[in-house]
Amino acid sequence: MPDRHSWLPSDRIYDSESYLWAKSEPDTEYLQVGLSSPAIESLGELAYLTLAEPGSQVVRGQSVGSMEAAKMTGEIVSPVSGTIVNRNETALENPRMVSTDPYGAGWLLAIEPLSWTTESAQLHDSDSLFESLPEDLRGQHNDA
Amino acid sequence: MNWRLLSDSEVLPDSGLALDDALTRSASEWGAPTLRLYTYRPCVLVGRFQHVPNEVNLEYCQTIGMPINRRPSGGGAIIMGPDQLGIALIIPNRTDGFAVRSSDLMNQCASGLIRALQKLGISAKFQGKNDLVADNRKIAGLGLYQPNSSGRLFHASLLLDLDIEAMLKLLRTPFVPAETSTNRHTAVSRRITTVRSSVGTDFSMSELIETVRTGYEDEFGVRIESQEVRSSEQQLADQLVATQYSTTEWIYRDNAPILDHVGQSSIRTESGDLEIKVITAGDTLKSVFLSGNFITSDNAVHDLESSLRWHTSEPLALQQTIAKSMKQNAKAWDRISEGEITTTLLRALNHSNAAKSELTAGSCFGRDIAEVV
Repeated sequence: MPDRHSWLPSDRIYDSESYLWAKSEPDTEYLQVGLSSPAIESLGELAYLTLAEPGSQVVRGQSVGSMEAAKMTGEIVSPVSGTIVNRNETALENPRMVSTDPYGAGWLLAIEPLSWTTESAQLHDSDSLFESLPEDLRGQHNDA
Repeated sequence: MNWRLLSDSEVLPDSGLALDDALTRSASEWGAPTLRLYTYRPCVLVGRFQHVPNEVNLEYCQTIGMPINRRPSGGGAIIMGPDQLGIALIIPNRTDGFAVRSSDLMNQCASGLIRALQKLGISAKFQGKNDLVADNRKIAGLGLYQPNSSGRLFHASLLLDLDIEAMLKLLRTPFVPAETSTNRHTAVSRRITTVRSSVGTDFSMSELIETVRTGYEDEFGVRIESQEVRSSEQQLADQLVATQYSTTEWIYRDNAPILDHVGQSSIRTESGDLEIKVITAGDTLKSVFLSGNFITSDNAVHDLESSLRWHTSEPLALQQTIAKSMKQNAKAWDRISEGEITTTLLRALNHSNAAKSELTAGSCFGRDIAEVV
C-alpha cells in the first residue's frame, strides 16, 4: 500500500467534492488536472474515458468529461474554471493509465485558469483533504 | 429516516431515464433516498459507453419501431418492457450509512434486492462487475452513476420474465452468431434466469414491486412510502428529455475513444470442442464467453467467465486468474487443462487486437468491423 504522501501528494491541491487535483505546470501559467488516489479507490479501475476538447471553456463544478470505471459511470467535474489547452490523448486511449499513475502519466487536462486566485482558495491541501475524507476511504491510510 | 417511493409503469425510455437522472442531480435537495420502481414500454437500452451498431440489430429495431436509448449508467445492452422491473435507488451524497467506495456501495444497494429475492425463496448474490446471480445465472444487471456531487444513482433491471427469442432478435448478443437459434437460446438460458422461473408464471409485476419495496425496507430498517415527484424535479427531467435523452446525439453518440473489439478462438480438447469469445475495450477484457461441446458444469463455466469479466488483458494476470478459478472447480475441469484455456483465451485476445490494428490502419470496413470471427 502506498504511504499517505504518495497516496495524496502535498505538491498539489484538491477538490473535496470531486477528488480531482490541480497543480501548476512548471514554466507555464497552466494548471494540470487529474483524478486523485481517493477517487480511483472509490471508483475502481477506469475502462472508458472521455475528455472535453482543447479550446473548450470550462466552469468549476461542471463536467469536463466522463468515465466508466469498474463499478461506476460518472462525470468528471472540473475543479477550476478556464480554457482547456491540452488533454491527455494517451490516457484517452488507455484509461487504465489513470488508475495506475494518477499523479503522473495519468493526468487528464491542462487548463488555463480564469479565476485561479479565488478558486484555489476553495480547494484543499493534502492534509486538509485527508481530514475531510470519509472514514471508509482514508481508513487504510491513517497510519501510513 | 423515511425513504420516498416512486412507482410508475410503461414509461417511455427518454422520460424514464431522464427522471432517474434528474432525481439524482437534485438528490441533495430532497435529503433522503428515493426508491423508484417502474417498467418501460418495450425498448432497448444500451450502456453509457456502448456503440449502438455493435450492440443492437438496428435494422430489425427500425423495422418493428422498437425505441433505443442510452442509460447514463454503464454495463451492457438490455431489453426492457412489462416483464423487466427497472429499479432506481437515488442516494444523496454523504447520506449516513451509505458507503463512499463504489464497490461497497454497489454491494450495499444490491443487498435490498437480494433480501427481496430471498422472500421469494431465491438465493441471489452479487457477482463480478455488475451482475446479481441466482443459481449462477444472471437475474439482474446493476450499475452506479454519479452525475455531480448531489447524489448517486443505483440502477438495476430485474427479470420477472424474459422473451429470449425477442432478445436474440433485438440485440447482437455475443453468443456465437453462427450457431443455430436453438443453440443460441440454450446459451442464453444457461446464463440467465428469471423470477418467474423460480416462483411460477402467475407471479405478477405488482407483486414483485411490493416484494422489492419491502426487501429494501427490511434490509435498511426504513419505511418507504409513496410520494410524488416534485415539480422542480419534473421540470429538470423534462429539460433533460429535450436536451439529452431524446436526441440522436446522445442515443447514437460514439463517445468512447476506445471501441469494443471481439475476437474468438477454438481448440479441440480431450473433453470436446471449446470455443472462447472475448470482448475487449482497450486493455480491459470486458467479457469472456465459453461455448462448445466440451464437458464441464455450467457453474464452473459461469465462475470462470465471471472471474475474467472486466479483467486486465495482461497475460500473466490472466493465467493466474484462470488457474485460481479452475482450482476452485477442479473436479469440473478435470479433462481440460489450464494451459488449453489460457492459450485459447490469449489467441482470442490476439484476434481482438488484430481488429484494433485494422481499425487504426483505417480499414475500409469502418467502425462496424469490430468483429473478427
